[in-house]
Amino acid sequence: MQTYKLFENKNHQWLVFGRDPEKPNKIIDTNQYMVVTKRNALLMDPGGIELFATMLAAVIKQVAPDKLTHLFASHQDPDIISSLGLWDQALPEATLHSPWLWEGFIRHFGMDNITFNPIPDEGSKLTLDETSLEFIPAHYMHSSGNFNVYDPEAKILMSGDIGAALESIDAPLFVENFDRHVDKMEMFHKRWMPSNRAKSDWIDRVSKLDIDMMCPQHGRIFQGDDVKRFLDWFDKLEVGVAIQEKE
Amino acid sequence: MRAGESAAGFKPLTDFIDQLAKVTISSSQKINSIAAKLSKTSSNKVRVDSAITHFEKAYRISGYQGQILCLNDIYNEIQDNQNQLQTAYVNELASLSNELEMLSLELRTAIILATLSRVEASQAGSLYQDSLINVADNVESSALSIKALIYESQKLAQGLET
Ligand SMILES: [Fe+2]
Ligand SMILES: [Fe+2]
Repeated sequence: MQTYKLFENKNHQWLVFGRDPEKPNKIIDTNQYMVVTKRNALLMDPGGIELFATMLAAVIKQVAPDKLTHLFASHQDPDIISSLGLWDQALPEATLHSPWLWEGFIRHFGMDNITFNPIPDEGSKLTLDETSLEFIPAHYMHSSGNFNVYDPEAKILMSGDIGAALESIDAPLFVENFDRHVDKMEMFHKRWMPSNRAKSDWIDRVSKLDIDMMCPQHGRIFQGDDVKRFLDWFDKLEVGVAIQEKE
Repeated sequence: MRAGESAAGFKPLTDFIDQLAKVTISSSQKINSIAAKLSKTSSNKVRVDSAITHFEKAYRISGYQGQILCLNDIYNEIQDNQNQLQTAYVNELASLSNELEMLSLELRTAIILATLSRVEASQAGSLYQDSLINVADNVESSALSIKALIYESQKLAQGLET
């Protein structure tokens, strides 16, 4: 498991864990993000159960277990949070922030110790020491209850499955050529994103944010102008194709 | 008592059957609840066993040194939990086997009861003979099919012993 620092200022840092060379084939490659502040840390979309040991080893190198106080699951998918039952053993004092809609489902992954904080549909804020983070609604993108995490200070948007690309395990961390990157995203977004209306709503909301880096759960990170390029490209893309092709 | 002498003569026999039925029902309810508890304990144990495996892998990846050692307290707690669950599992399995054995012994009474009924039948007047034989057959066949199930469960329970 590789660890990279995406951002650092006096109050906090952003780390990404990914590109795990030991990942079993046929399992989709994922990026895990962590915000570390003075006394706390938030681990976002901690990943699948098969990834737990490598993630635990990588995370512990960065923060002591009692400092990892918060987890976030953008939605209920197994590649996002099926490791919950094991984090529940490792971090009995932690809080999991996740869409209220999915509580009854996410608990199936095993949660006896961790506290569940349901995020309301309109979103909410989380303050870690001096750092304020926002849970931005991204419902139906692709899951019916779905959030992004926005950090106005670092200008980073953790966008979950939005912006995801299917890549080889050794792909670079950042998008280098947007036009060539489109091929790796197109099918994913057309098929996994169900609603053009939800897509427009999300684009409207996110366009108002000041974003330097957009960080998806799969594939590469968008930087600078590529964020705007992504939003423009996505705006024109027809999604929900499994239905449309039948008509 | 001569069961055939009057309808009232049946009473001790029917009381006996009632009593046996009650014991069988309450014992099978108890068996059910122990089995449910055992199943819960073992699924918790599987979860904790898997946590141990994953933690060991994390230690291995980190070469058993550095920051990973911060996890020692948590790891020890999980191991304690694993030991407790193991003890609970063994105890619950023993009480399940015990309860099955007790019910099986209890059902021996049913065979005695059936024999008793047949003896009564042979001495009863023709009016009661058929019903007594019928009672004997029913009690015996129910007891035998319950016993077969108990035997099956005992074999399964033995398979759970490690
Ligand atoms: Fe997903
Ligand atoms: Fe995903």
